[in-house]
This record gives sequence, C-alpha cells and structure tokens, in this order.
Amino acid sequence: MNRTIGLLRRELLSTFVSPVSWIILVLFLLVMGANMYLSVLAVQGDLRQLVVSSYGGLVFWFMFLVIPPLVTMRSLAEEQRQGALEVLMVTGISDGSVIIAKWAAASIFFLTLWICLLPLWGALSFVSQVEVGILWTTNLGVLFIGSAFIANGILASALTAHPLASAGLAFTFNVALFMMHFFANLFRPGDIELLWIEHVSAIHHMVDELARGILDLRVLIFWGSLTVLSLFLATRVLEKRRWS
Amino acid sequence: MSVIAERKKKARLHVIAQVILSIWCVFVINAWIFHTSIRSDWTEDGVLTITESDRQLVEGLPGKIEVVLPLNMSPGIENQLKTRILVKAARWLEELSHVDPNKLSRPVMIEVNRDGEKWERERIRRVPVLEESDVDKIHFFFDDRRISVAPEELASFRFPTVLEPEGNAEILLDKSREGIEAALRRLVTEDWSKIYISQGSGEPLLEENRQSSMAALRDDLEARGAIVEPLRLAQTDVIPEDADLLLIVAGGVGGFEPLGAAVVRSIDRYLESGGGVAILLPATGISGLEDLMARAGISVSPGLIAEEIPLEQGFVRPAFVAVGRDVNPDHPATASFGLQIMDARFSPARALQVSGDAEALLYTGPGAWIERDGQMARRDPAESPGPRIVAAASDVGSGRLVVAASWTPVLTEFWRGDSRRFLLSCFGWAAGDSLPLGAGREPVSRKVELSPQFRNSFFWTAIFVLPSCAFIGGLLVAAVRRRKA
Repeated sequence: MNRTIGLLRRELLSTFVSPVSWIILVLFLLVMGANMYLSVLAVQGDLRQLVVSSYGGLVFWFMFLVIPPLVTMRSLAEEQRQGALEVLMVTGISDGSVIIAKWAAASIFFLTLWICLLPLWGALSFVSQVEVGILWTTNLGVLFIGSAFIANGILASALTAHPLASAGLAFTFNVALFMMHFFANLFRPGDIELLWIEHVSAIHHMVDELARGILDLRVLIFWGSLTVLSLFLATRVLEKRRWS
Repeated sequence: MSVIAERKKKARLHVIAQVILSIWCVFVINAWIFHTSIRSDWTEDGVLTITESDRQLVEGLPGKIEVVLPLNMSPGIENQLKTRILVKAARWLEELSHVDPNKLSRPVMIEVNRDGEKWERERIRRVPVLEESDVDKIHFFFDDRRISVAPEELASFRFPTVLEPEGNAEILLDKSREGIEAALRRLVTEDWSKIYISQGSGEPLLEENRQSSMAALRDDLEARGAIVEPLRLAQTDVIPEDADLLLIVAGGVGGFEPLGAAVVRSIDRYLESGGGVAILLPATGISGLEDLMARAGISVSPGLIAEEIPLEQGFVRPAFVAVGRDVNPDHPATASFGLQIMDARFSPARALQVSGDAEALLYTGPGAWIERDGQMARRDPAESPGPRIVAAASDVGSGRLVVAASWTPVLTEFWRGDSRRFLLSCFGWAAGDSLPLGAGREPVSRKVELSPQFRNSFFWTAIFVLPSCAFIGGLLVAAVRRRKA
C-alpha cells in the first residue's frame, strides 16, 4: 500500500510539473470557458439548462473523448519504450500497484481540470441561485465516466509501447463506448434492447440523468465496474511480460 | 526448461480464465443492477421526485398509455421556449414511466424536420391518426382515444408584443408537471367534474382575458378535466344538481354584494346533500355566508393579517400579507404537500378560527399578527404575533366546505406559486376528487439576468481570467523547477 502511495505521489508530481499538463489545463479552460459563456447566452441565463448544455454538449464530449487518451498515452507506453518499466518491476512493486497508481494520478489530473471550472459556477452564484445538488451529481458523473475512460487509456497504454498508438487505441475504445448511444435510434421505447443501450450510454447517463440532478445507482455501478475491468485487464497485460 | 514452458503454458491458461471470469462478473453485476434501480433526485425543489400521489396515479392507470411528441424545432424565440417546455414535460413523463413501464410507456420524441420518415410512420400507426397540424404537442393514446396537450397548457409564456417589442420572451409559470398529471387523468376518466363559479355580485369576470379576471383559474380547471360554468347567484337561488363544486369568490375590484338569505339557504341545502363549496373571503365587509360557515365551525376574526415581509439587502417591511407556510399534513386536501414549507401568499387576508369538526388547512409563520384597525400594518405591543389560520375545511352533512382567507389569489395576475397549488388542491378535495391535484411542485426558476454588465464580466472571467490563472500557475511551476534544477 505504501509503495502504491509512493508511486502515486511520484506520478502526481511528474504530472503537475510537466509543461504539457499545464498547456492542457490552459487550453481546456479556454475552450470550456468559451463554451460556458456561449451556453449562458444560448439558454438565456437558465441555470438548469446551462448545466445540461455545458456538461452534455458537443464541446464537452470532445474534451471528454480527447483528454483521457492524451493524459494516459505516455503513462505505460513511454516507460515500456524507454525500458523504465523493467526497472520499476525489479523494485518489487506489484503490477497492480503500478496500474492503480498511474490510473489514480491520471484520474486526479482529469478531475482537477473539471474542478478548475467550478469558479465560473461560483461567479454565477453571485447573481443567481446555483443548484449545488445538480453540480454534485454532474461532477460525480464526470469522475465516474472519466475514470472509466482513463482506465481504458491505461489499458491501451499497457497494450502498446508507442504513445501515439496508445492514444489512438484509447480514443477508439472510448469512441466505441460513446457511440453505443446512437444504436438507440434502432429501437422503440419499451424495447429491452433500448434499455440495455441506455444502461451503457454515457450520453444518456450524463444528459438525461446526472446533469438534471438524478443520481441512479446503475450509472455508478456500470462505470465503476467498467473501470475495475479495464484496470484488471491492464494488470494482466502487464503481467504477461513476466511469462512471455 | 520443460518445467518453465509448462508453467508458462499454465499461466497463459490461468490468465485467459481470469479474463473471462472478470468479464462474466462485470456482466452479472450489471445484469443484476439493470433490474434494481435506485434513483435519487438531487434538485433542490425536488422537481423530478416521484411523490406517492404520482406513483398512485401511474399504478392506477387502467391500461398502457402511449405518448408521442412530434417536435418541429423551428427557429424563433417563441418556438424555442415552447420546445423547451415540451422537452421538459417529456423528461418528466420519462421519469414517471419508471414507476410502471407497462402502464405508461416512455414518450416517443420525433424531430419532424430531421426525421420525416419516422414521423410519417408514427403518424399513420396511431389511432386516431395524427395530422400534420399535430406537431409541437404531446399526444397521449389510450384505447383509441387521444388527448393532446399544447405548450400553452404546460406553461404561461410572455412574448414581446407590438406594444412591448423589446420585452423579454420568458416562461412565467412552468406547470408542466401538473399539466401532465391532469392530462393523464382526463384520458382515463369518463366522468368530468362540473364546477360553477359565482358571478354577478361584483366578482372578477370569468370570461375576460385580463390580469384582473379569473381566466387563468378557469383555464387551469378546464385543463384538469373540469367543465367550468358561471353561476349568477344574484339572479338565481338554485344550485344546479350536476355541480360538483360551487366556488364563491366573495370579492372584486368594486366590492362584493353580500349574498341574500335565499341563496344562502340553497347553498346550505346543496352542502347537506353532498355538494362541495369553496368560499374565498372579501378583504372588508361580509360575504353573507358567515352564519353558514360558523355552523360548520369556521369563523372570521375582525381585522386583517399582517406580516413583516423580507426585502432585498436584509430589510423587512410590514404589510397586509398572510404567507401560508405550514399545511395540515393529516387532512386529505393537503396531505399530498406533506411537510413542505409553503410560500402561499394571500393579500389582504382575514384570520380564521376553527372549532368543532372544522380543521385548519394552512397556517402562517409565527411572525403574523392581526391588525385590527386595517389602516396601516404596524404591530402594536398589544397585537401579539403567532401562527394564523388562512384556510380551513369542514364536512357539512355529506358535503365539503373550504374557506380561504382572501379572494385575490384567483386573479390572473396572482394565480401562480404555492397559493395556486394550494387552492387547486383544496378545490379538488371539495369537488370530491379522490386525489387532489396541484400537489406537484412547480419548478423554481433559476435564471441569470443577462445584463450587458453581467455578460461583459462573465465573458472576461471565462475567457481570460481563469486560463490566465492557469498560465501563471504553469509559469510558476516551471520557474521553481528550473531553480531546483
């Protein structure tokens, strides 16, 4: 446990001193800030609609699909390429610890990006009543869905030794998950298939549930279980190096 | 060497088995949770919370009701607002359908402009067939019957007019939740209640569509499946036999002419025979029904209720306003409000007293007092504050009587908020509805006034201040890193 925490600390330090992270943060705030400003105008100041619009629009999903692969692409792939992973392995740290530390560091950075947007909501709270409950559920959704996307990124990073290939693979995983929602058009309300598609649809979870203040245990369990599965698979992939 | 190869082979098999097992576990967990939904509403006003009465309504539906919402999505601020309210209503229907999908199906939303083929298919499939003019309405289908609800029935809008071309377009009152509830009841109920509203003794007009009329009240009652008729009590002393509720609005801009003895006798007979009567009291003078009310255990104190009303920046101002805060959770008329703290405003309002079988329905907060002179709201030391009754109910024979302390909330200008919900619920009870309407919470509007000053400051905060802070943070980290290196 102590080794995992030590490794996590090292990962966090390297993430937050990396210029790339700060560039991502600046660009993220610029794009999401502009998106929020335009959304305020588009929804004519209706704060409930603003949450749905800011956390369910095109710009939001673009960021959500692009940032996790960028954050995770170097985490294992780069170390594999440079041979640093072998050095890490001989120190006696387990594969699971490595995976968890890297995933936790990337998730914390990803969550930090979204937390940095909260001052804008704070600014809005000076002129109107911002619903804290809805912001909680929305950011909980960002945490859970984002963690699953990052876990996919870690899995992709474990599968290849090339950062760009890893980013591409993670992006493909996440887009595939994201695109599941569009199969909903093939079914009618009441069809069990449609309910299953909604069970795995990030858009449905974010736009129809969390951004409207509805917290459904199914959403948390689906994304939580997906995160655990991806991390477990990543551990097995890493372990493969020992016996191949 | 062969031992190592054997171990590697075993390890590979183990990993494959573990991977398959883990995927199976994830599938089983999700299959279990798929059928076990635990949902909670985190909105502050519980706007998506399914109450017990919502649950009863859906579970009590006699068969499967299908819902179709064709949307035109045309540009223009008016259409945008109407679309927004329709989508909101569809969202609530979707939430309701979670109660029992076999009773209420999830709404089928069709964007007519983008998906013409789907609209055409859906249009023909439905009985009765949907017409081209049926877009931008919610349609409920049950047993070859259809009820269509227009956005105007789900919300009150204000749009720029010729006289006010620069006025803001906005949703004044969002009643989508109640509108849906009423439509569902209308669809499955054959027996529509008939409500008579007193006219001709100085009451606000029912027909005229003005702020000082009762047009909004009439529209609301009709949207709930009631047939609303005026009844000129000054000209006739006969209460029609088909009346489920007689609503006496004992007030008006020009004063109210008290009802005569013959009318009071017929109202008494009507009550004894099982009718429902709701009386909204005048601010000054009498209604003529005081003796009848006293026999039912409800009496009116002299003077008007006054309270200190909070203003902006922490100031308070005493005014002739009674703010109904606490409802009686045990009475069927108000049980659906539970222990909610209300904000039902009655101004000016008389203070009621109850005795015998009569029960108070709504109380003010502890800061209200009775101003006896009725000239200026200023509390004297002798006027002690305390909760005052602003509405009461009593069973008279087999009939039901409701008395509210003020007539003004039924004016179109004031027909909104908790006073509207409360009165609708009381009217429903008096008319004999088993499930009083109006208990659904109206969503609280949370809007930012988009003044030029706000736009400007929010623009710079969003586009410049936050990214700049991050940029400076990055520079500081780089500087520290360089110094350490």
